[in-house]
Amino acid sequence: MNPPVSDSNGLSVENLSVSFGGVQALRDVRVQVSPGEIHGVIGPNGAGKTTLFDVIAGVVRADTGKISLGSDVITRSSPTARARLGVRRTFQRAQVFGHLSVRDNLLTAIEWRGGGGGVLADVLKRVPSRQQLEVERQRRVDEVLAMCELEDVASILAAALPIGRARMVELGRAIVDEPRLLLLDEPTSGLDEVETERLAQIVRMVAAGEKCGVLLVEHDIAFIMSLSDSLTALNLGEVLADGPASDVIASTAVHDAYLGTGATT
Amino acid sequence: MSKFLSLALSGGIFGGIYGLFASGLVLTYTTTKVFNFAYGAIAFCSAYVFFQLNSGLGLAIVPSALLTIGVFAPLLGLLLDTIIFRALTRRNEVVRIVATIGLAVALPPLILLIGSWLTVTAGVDLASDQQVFLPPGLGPAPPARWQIADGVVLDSNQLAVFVAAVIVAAGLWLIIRHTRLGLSIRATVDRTDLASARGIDTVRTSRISTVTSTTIAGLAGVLIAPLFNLEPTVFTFLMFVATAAAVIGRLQSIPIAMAAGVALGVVQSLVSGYVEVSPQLLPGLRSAVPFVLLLGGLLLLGRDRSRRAGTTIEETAAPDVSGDVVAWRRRLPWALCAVAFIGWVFLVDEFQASLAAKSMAMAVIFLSFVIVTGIGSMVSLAQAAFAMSGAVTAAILTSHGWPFFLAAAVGAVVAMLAGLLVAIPSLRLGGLSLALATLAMGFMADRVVFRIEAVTGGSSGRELPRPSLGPISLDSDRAYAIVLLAIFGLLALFVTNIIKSPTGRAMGAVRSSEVAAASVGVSPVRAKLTMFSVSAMVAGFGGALMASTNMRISSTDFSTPLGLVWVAVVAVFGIQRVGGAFAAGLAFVFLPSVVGWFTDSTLWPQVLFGLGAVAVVRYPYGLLSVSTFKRRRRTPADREHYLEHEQPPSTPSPEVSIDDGSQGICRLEGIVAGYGGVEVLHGIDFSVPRGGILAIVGPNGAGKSTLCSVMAGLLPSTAGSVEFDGVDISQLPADKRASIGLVLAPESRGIFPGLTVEENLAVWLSDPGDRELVMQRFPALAPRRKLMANLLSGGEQQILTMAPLLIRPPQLLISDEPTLGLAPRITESLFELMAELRDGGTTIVLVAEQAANLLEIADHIVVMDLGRVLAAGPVEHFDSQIITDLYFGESASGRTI
Repeated sequence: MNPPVSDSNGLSVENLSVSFGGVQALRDVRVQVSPGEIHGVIGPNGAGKTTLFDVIAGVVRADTGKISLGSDVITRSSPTARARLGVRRTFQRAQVFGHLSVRDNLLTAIEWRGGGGGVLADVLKRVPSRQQLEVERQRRVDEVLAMCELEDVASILAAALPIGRARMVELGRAIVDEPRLLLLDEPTSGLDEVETERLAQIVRMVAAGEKCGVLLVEHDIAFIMSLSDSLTALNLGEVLADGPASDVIASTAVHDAYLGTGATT
Repeated sequence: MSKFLSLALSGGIFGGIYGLFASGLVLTYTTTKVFNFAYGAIAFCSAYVFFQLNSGLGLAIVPSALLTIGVFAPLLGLLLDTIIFRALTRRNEVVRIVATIGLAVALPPLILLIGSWLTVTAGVDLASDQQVFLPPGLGPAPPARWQIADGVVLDSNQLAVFVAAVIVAAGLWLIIRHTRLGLSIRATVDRTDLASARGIDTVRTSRISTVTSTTIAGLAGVLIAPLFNLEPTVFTFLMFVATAAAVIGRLQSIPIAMAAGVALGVVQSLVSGYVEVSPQLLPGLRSAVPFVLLLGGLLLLGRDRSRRAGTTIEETAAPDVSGDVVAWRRRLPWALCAVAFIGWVFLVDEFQASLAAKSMAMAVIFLSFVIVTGIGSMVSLAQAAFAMSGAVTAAILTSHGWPFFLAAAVGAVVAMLAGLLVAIPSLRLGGLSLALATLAMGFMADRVVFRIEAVTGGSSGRELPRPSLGPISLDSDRAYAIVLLAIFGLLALFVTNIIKSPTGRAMGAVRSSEVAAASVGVSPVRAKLTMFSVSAMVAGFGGALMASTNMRISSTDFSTPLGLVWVAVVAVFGIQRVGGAFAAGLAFVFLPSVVGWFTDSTLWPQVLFGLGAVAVVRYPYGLLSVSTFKRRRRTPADREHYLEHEQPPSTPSPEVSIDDGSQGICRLEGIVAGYGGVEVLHGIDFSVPRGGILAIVGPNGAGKSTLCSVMAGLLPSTAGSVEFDGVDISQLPADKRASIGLVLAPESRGIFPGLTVEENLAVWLSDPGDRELVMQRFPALAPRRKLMANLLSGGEQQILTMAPLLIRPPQLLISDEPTLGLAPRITESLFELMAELRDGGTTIVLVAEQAANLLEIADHIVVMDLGRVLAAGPVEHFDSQIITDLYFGESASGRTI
């Protein structure tokens, strides 16, 4: 197994353990994702993929272990704080902001940085200090809308979109603020082949162009193999194998875990 | 008897009332997840019926009581369950709260109206409800009285309440712990889907418990009628006090709620006996004790665990606020309204003009509801207290010579600070807890702060002169009405701006999904806090305006119970939009006089407002959106347009039929199903041969669990049919399917974690003898009978899933991922149990992701991926290589990435 490339700006998960009511969901898990790298996580049902994802996103607290992004240790940070440090994610079941237009969905993802003038400016609407900022943000949103092919639905309420477009809104929302780490949770579920291919292109583009690490949890092994540089295979909460994607997928331990041949204990 | 003991005794006996209410509240909440704000109103209606049967119709006490408790209350419960509670369980929390508040507002005046209609029109000789009356109690009349200490008196009516409360609580506890019905209720509460998969009719179960809790309210009404005046507010107040006890029971435990109710009575009695407060300083401190406890209980115990990611019922925006209408067309109707309003103010007399002024001041207050509930999705029941804070502050400052608008602005800031005081600790608790916390805080303010003479100026209140605009005096009602309209318009514009600002977008994001909002750097707590405090500010400002139309504010002008009526009024017209506030302001002020043209009764407006709020169950966006709502529902063409993209890839499924000549026990044809618009299964056809084991294998996301849910009847299919034993069962609910022998053991463990081992078995095995057989067959379970099932190990839980099915075998068992997370040795013994079941004649459908083990035990294989059947046939046709290829996508899935 290759020693993980330690990078000053990537994601580093060390000795992570999580248990729910006595059941050990993750035991001593390690993951490294460098900027620009696409890293896949595979494993059968119940392997702990989603738990790992949730712990990195901050939705579930780790019992022990350390999660850091570059020099920022985020083990105990709230999801909001992580997002502000550049950890952005999508959801297994798409969660767009149904109350907002597609454009506003993306805009919201930048606006935590504040707009100048605070609530007072919100109330009065036309404040010069804010307008310049608005123009720049709209320009960035337009860029991402084009990338995700969402221009035609930009002013439509996101709740009205079919699942394929909704997933694109989620992806656009996750990348619009130039993340340092992008977490994708089963992004292809509900997508057709054309949409899947489009998604793969965007993810590659973001990883390469923005120097952003990508952590991908996915059950479609063909998709994950086509996209990932490296893989972590989990089973029953432990790391079975990690390293370059082709090595991991070829390992017998991974085949056994998926197919259940032979005892895996 | 010592003073302490006698105070405690009398308080505890009085606390029986709270216990009774609290038990009923907990019962409703656990079974329907609806906190019934109308519980006190139901008790009032029962008390009124009891009184009229007895004093009006001259029926003896006992038959009157029996008719009320045994006939009226259950029927009312059945009615409410059918038209409201059933539908409410599918609505979000805001709608649940608002609808039951509407019911609480509407029911008491409704029953009084029915009473007077019976007297006047139908000529029934009822007792007049104009005079103060006390119905007799169940005991001797006049009630026997005992002097238990100096100044502490008990009477037989109070004793009756206590005895009944204890009997009810014990009875409920017995029913819930030790009967079949109770088991069904608890199983339904624990895991609804599994309960119906085990043959429990969950709809009937929750109906029974709603009716039961209404009956308890009926009993409470009859028992406490003799103790107090027959006043709706008394009953509602008692119920809110009892809420503290229900919260201490975490809205879960009836015995704890009962005990807490009694303890509450004791504490209240001791406080009133021992704590000496000067009536000038803190006059209402004693009566505020329960609300202090309610607030404390909420903060300590009230964390609402139901609001996890993805479990909330997502609200959608009102169908007509999408902004696809041109700006001038949206504004024109409101501009016309404003012009009409101004014209009308000049036409009518001075009295109508003063009403017009009041209506706009009220519209400003109602705007605060639009902000907190409409935009912020939180229910605040303390808006009246915020309005009061604003008004009182403004009054004090103007009396020191401050100009009106400056004073009102400071009043708004004071209201905002009060809002922050309640919101900061309670915002994280979730919707219902926040509503209850604001309610507690509202009552505390009513009873303590606003009774202080230095604050509200005693019984005569404080003067609050109207402002003047430079040289123009606004003492004329016409001028003031127009100025207030302008103020409302300006504030409404600000609110509209907020919706379209970064803060508004952040709030919109939080409403849709708090987790997703946090994932893009929005702080949900901060967004809500902003909305809450802005709303409190507007309420405070509006309170000052409203008081200035009267030129006076006194301590009872804006009370918390009145605030409940306000909630109902705004909800009627649409709490999501500023137009709703405008219409609500007009209606709140003018409806009474409009109704006055038709009838002398003053009760009608309240009934109309309350019932209107109940209608949010059907029309969550209020009256102003009803027409649009209907139109959209008829022609959902625009939505379909976007759904066109969502055609599933049309690769033909390479179907191999499993047909060994015999008629299959279960046949699926063209099953299409999914969740919330996402199609998971794209047309599944296969037939399960009778006898033997059929294995469904496929990777994560293949749709296996969805298919299981469809077969078991837990998830309706959008197309296709399920046939069982030659009969089409597509429309049959899960519990009926279980009772004809089609049973699902859901993914991972088919157990009720909150029930004991014994109770888990009893859900399927009602005969104790059968349960003994289980214990003999699996001696490992015997010592754990009384243990909660979630304390068992994974393997034991799986045995607990299978064991009852071995004793009473179904015809067809669908077992979804039974080996998930099990050690290989346990997997083996589980398969032995399956084989035993098969040998007994049960057909088994076994679902798993890991295929190889199954090849040894299965007779037939169905391979699925991405919602279709890839291959199916007798096990001989498969070897692990074929399945490997199918899994890893080299040959069959045909992906081209």
